Amino acid sequence: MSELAHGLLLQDQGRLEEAEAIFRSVLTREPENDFVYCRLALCQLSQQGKKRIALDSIDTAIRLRADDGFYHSVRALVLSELRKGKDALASADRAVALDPESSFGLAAKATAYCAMDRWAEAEEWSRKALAADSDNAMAANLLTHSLRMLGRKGENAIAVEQLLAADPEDSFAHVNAGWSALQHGEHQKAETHFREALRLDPDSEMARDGLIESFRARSLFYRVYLSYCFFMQRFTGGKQWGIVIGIYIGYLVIRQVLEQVNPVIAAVFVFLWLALVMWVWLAPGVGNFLILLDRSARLALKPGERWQGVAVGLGLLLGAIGTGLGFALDFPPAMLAGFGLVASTVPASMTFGNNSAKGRLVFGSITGFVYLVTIGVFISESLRHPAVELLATTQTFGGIAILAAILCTWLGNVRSLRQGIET
Amino acid sequence: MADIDSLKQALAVSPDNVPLLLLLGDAYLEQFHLDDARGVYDQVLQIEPGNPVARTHIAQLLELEGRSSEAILRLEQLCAEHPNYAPAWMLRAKLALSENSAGEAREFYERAVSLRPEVRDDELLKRIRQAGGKKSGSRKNADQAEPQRSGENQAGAFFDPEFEEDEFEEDFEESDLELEFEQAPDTNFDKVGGMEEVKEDIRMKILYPMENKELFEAYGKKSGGGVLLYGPPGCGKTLISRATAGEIDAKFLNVGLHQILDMWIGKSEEKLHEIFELARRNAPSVLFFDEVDALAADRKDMRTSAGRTLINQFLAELDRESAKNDGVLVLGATNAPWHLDSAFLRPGRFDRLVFVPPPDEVARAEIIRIMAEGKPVSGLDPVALAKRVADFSGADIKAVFDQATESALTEAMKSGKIVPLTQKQLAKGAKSVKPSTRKWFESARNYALYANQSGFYDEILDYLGIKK
Repeated sequence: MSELAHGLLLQDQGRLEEAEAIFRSVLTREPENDFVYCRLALCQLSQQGKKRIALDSIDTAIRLRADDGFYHSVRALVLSELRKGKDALASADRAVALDPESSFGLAAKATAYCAMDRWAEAEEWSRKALAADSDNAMAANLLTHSLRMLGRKGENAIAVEQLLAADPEDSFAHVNAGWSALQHGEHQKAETHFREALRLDPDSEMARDGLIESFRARSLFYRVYLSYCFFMQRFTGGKQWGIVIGIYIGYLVIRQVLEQVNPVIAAVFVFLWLALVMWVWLAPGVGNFLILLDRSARLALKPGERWQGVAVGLGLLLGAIGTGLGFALDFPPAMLAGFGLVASTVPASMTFGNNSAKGRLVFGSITGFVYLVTIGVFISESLRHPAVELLATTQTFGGIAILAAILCTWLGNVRSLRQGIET
Repeated sequence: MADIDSLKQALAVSPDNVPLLLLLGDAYLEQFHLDDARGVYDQVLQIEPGNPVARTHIAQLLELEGRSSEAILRLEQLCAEHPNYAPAWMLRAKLALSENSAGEAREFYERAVSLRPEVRDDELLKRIRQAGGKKSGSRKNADQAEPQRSGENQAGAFFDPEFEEDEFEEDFEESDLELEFEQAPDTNFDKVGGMEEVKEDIRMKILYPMENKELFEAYGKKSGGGVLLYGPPGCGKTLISRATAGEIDAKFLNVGLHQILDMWIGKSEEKLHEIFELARRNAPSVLFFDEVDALAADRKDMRTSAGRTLINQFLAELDRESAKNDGVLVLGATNAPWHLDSAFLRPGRFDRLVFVPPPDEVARAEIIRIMAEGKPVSGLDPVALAKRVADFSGADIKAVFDQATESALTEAMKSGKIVPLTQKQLAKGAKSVKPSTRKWFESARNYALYANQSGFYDEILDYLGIKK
């Protein structure tokens, strides 16, 4: 009994690995204890890489006791984390059927809708959860989150205020307030909230991520990028693809028209388009590079984010210098190397700090390829400088490298290559 | 346990190899092939008639067959012939307990542990205690001890003779609490390798204030009280606490969570109070609470009011009037100081923090030397190996030895003879084991960066070389 109490305390303290070990120890003595299996699942749910095991644990709890709505709610949360929205919704429905008054079950249903990016339903069910229990912090946080995703800034601001008034010591509430402030373009206010969230829970990844975003948002250009991200977040994966393809078709049409009206304006338009596309992918890396220059802020970066900052920031800087010098000194190899370095920043930005192992492999391979081509082109073209025209291999591999970098701007929209979703 | 077939193959090459035969016997015993095990041990005795290991195992087999009397007789003879062979005493303790002789069981148990501390079996000790087996001579030893006077020991001011008078007059005993005092542990700072910075920190924060009690009082400061040791797990917090008790020549009471937490409401608080009373009556004493974060947890994290009352009780015990706790040094160890209720860090409670980092190079070399003791090791260079295991905790270094041992054992089974551990195998083990302290520092770094408004964790930042 005392061991279980200790495990529960550790879980409350967020010491999940230690709590998990204790729950496992209790289960060796009491292998039929469904309650402990459920606590075990909750511990695993909050740990990186253990969501699949969490599903096994909660399934065992349900096998031992199928009529407990709480267990089905936990199952819904686990499935939501695994991005299995439909299954999560089915479990949440079962939980609500077993215990219609349970605020936790209603909030689990809202979570399932969040996993499917169905923000309107998420709002509806989080409100229902709050109607059942106005103190349900999970439901209150889900409500503010879904309102933010729906772009209802006014209501979101009120909900955030209520959230903080209910419990100013709730780290998650400060995280929500921080994101809300970022969405409103108030990066300093956001920084304050994220710092407070980290003070309350220094291990909070969400708070640390938010703090880094608020650091990056010190730049006007980054704030523009953030606005684009917030805009895109409102839509489901399919709609996001539709918007991206729609914008691209719009770009092609406008370019065609401009080329007929004035080729110079068309060229400027193409350049701006490319800069915009590049910026969408390079903004986080450039943001990290700028954070690296701030002695205090850089402490918040993880090693992967630091490398991203170095690869993207230095890639752009050296690429620009190489291109500039090549142009000024009439030394094409340096210009080509500069182009290569700039091109490498696109896949590099998606390699470092990427939580998806598959994504790191894909983008890492492309980055390596672009680096190799850049070095190869620079050496081979330098050796035959001055030359009238480029080598055929330079043209072939250079073209492939550029195409690979452009391909990354499309592959980057594939969620499983960017987020490290556990399956 | 080694695989039986591999051992048989090895024995086919070297049939009279006693260590291999013993390994085979152990393997049979573990798989409950009792007849086979007996055959192997008999074979050992044919080669080495007095072999204590085989004789102990035969006694164990007899006991398993229900022939306890014969087992006891054999063990009596064995202990008479090999009085320093700890496992035989330990088995005698088990058998004595099964014969309801708790007193004898305790005596044999103590003998075994005094000969070889690593044979310690907490579960057996618990059962012996429950059966009424008390530590023989503990009262006698205390009575016979030379009366101490203020100023005689290294930290004389800490010692208050008033408390000596009613020592052991309490109506509850250590055994009721499943606790035991170590009479002035024989460990002190000289016997702890390395960790010089920690020792100096403790001298400044604990020992000197006790030695200069009057000086401190002149400035309105109290000596004694509570000190919190924090750092990654397995890095010597308990050892350094025991050594601190040794330095001030005080009794050392190591309190584990299981000795306090109780399922019955109010019982845990009662036990905690009794432990403090026991320490007060045995002053000068050091009361050491391991995993203190569970007893002094932040009340915000507590889901039950029962847990909160235990915290309140702990605070009340720490807050006793100075006279009551005079002579009692309370040491708490934790690897999660940030989970302590802030009330515990106020003056008069755990108001001094000592950071115990992973062992430094000297300490690691010392740990390596200790771990190599009793093992067949050739060409060991503890200093060179210590350099390879930077940031390793004691437990990590043990894992390095375990890996190297497995590797040597595999070779031994192939060759049929004892193969010593080599520096190369240990170095290879050091490469494959990852220091467990890194994970702790990842979390500690976050607390030191974001929740360090009071500066409590500046030492962590210094250790990590971070300048804010």
